[in-house]
Amino acid sequence: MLSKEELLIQEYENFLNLREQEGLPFSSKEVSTLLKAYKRSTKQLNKIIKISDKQQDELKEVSETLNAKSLKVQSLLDNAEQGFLSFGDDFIIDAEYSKECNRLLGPALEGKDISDVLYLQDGAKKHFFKEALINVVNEESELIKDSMISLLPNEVIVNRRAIKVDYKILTNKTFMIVLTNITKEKLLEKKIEKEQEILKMIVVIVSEPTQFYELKDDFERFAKNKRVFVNPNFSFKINLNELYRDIHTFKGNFSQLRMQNCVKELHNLESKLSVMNTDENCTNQDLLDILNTSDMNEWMDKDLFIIKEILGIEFFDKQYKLEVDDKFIFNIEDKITYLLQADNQHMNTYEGILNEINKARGTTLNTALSIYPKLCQEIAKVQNKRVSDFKVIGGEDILTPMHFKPFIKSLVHIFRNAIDHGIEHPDERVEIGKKEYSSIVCLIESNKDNFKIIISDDGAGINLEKLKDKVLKAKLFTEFELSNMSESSLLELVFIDSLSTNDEITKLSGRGIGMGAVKSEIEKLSGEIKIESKQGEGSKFILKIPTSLHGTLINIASNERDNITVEYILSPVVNRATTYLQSDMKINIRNKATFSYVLINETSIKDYCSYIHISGLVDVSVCISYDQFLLDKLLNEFNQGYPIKKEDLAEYRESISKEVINIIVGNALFNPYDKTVLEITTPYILEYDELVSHSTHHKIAHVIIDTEYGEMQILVGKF
Amino acid sequence: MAKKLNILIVDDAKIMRVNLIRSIESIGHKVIAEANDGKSSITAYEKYKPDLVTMDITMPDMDGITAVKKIKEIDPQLNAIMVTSHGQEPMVMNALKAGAKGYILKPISAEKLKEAIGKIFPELENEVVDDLLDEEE
Repeated sequence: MLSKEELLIQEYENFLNLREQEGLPFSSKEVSTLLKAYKRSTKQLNKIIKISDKQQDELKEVSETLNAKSLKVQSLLDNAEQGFLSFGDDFIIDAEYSKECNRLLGPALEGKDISDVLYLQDGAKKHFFKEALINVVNEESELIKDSMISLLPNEVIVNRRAIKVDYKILTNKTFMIVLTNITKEKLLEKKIEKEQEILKMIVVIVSEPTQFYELKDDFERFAKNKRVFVNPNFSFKINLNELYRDIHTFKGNFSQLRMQNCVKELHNLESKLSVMNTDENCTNQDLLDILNTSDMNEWMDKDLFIIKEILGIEFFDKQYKLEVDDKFIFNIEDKITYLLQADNQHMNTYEGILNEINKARGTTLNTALSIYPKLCQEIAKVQNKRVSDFKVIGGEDILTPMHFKPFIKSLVHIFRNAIDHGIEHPDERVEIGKKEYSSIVCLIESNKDNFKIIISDDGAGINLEKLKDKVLKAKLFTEFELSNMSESSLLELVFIDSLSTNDEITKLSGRGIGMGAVKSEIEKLSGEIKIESKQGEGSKFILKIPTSLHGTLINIASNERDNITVEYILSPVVNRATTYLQSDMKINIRNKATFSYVLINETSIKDYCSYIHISGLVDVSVCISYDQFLLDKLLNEFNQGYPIKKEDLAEYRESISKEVINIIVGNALFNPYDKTVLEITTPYILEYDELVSHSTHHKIAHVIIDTEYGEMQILVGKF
Repeated sequence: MAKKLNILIVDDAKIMRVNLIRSIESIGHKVIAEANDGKSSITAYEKYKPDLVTMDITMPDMDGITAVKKIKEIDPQLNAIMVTSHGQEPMVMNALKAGAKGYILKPISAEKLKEAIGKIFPELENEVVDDLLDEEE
């Protein structure tokens, strides 16, 4: 017959074996039972040892068995990949703890204060931890005890390891802690975050190369001449303020480009300078000393190295003219796709980055076509023809993704034909009463469904008679068939490949070359091409492409540099809002525009708007406004899908608007460097008029998150 | 038949109250009274002597933590559940110290409420099982 303890141990041995096979950790409940069993057997063992020497021999056998049992439990606990330790209400760690505790928390833990071991550097956490446990000890109700314990931090960093902490009350004054090493998981998370940051940096730099080059040059110059910035003729205060402002601006600009390593260095310097500001004894010499000990030249190195690795050394040679090899872009894309598979959690961030990359890769339609005016001049020159200087009009807000390239290239045929065959020689033009210089117009028009490229010239137009001749000669249609065709059908004949690819014929006949290529490329994009032509007056090509099928054609939000404080507030709020909408409210996000600055009276605040004031390290307000449809979706979510009475609607919307801003801002705002929470007020509802009257002089930063239910606008500024 | 709890709900937002009422009723309890701030919750508590109070934390006039303290002085047997959001741990700790017995995170649902109530009234759980057995017979 087995004793109770033996049964228990056996049961847990079986359990452990099973767990080992499945690779699952213990639950804290299981461990606490194990530990209790262990303690009980140790107690018994000690009792037995203390019994008089007389019985020693008889008891020796029993004692050995018990000792073996107790070792068994200890070895069970030691072999588990979790650490178990207990401590009393004095926070002093008990002598019995498992080996993993030493691996995680260091040697000789017995007698040490648990809060010192777990929260080495974090005074606030140490305080909250002790206070919570003292509360737990003083609390009579088991229920409240449990609730209090559930508020304790469940992850700590000790000796550069991330440890998950589970708490358990053993007796009224004994606590047990179960430690699980989650460093690997955390490192992976961190690595993914870092890769994300790098990708974001690359994307910004690729889309704003001029800004990057300028900033790089500016900072290099600054680092080289830093001594000059301390003017001996000025007081220390003036020099300090000047320098502080410069550093702050650099920090803001580097942060905009997401060159994090550089931002970190600048932030450190800024902190040093702000300490000096409070010290009355500092002099210009101290400023010089600080500057001399800062290796500013090297501050960009880390980030530049990463950029070089990804975009290639060539990126730095092509000053002000960005041509990133597609190969590198593909590399980034591959990387993201890989990360996507590794980490579904941040799926949306990656999708965002992919969109950004598309943005970076696709230049605007205006830029893509801007090579043609120059080309036209060159061709005209060779043929002694005259074309007025022209520019591509419109299309600055349309992006051309990668797969538009063949189409853009094919347009060369239209321009080439216009010069080769449309436009007359200058003397000829003068003779028939036209201007010596011919005009070519390239116009891009767009609405939300499609865009049009209209290319027209004031040349001779398409000669239909000659066109018909060629068709007859090629035996493509009979004379009878041609005589029944409308003028527009006849014009369509220029797209026939077998006609247009024969250079000899086309040169003689004055028809287009390669027009078939244009048609086939535009059809690949589900677009269409139309020709209007009048003999003697010119030709017009209208190319229409639907945008809805090409999700990558996004309007570019203008990007302004500005104040770092505002971005530090805005970006975590936007991130938190995104997560909140997606994860908590299950609302899909269609697009998140990059932030920009607006004058408050020039922006339209949406129907429902609430704000929270933030003080402490900063002094700004966050305001969130919603499209009614989106707010109602959130309302519906809070109301668990039940219908709402008409008379309650307005009040409910206000409540939800306040509730949501409270949740988003309350959880988003941490100082990025020391993670202390900022002070926030309770939320208020804001009238548009109030907002405007408070803030006409200020620019405010805003971001619009476009969801399937409408837009959420987040504003940060002083209002 | 399981015991029906008489519950007082305290929240300044009507929509939260409406949702609490709905969730409470859906799990078979009764809302005996509503209050929209800390002060009126005390009067309501004295008048209706509820089995349980759900208490919002941030409210105008008197916040939920103060209200819990004051009611606890009147009735040490007070059963209070705080209704709160993520990131308010220190406030929840103060509420628990003041005598609240549990908390739930917004947006609330019948399940969350049921779990929190079940912790305070474990006997209710058993009665539900009894109910099921009765039905089987």
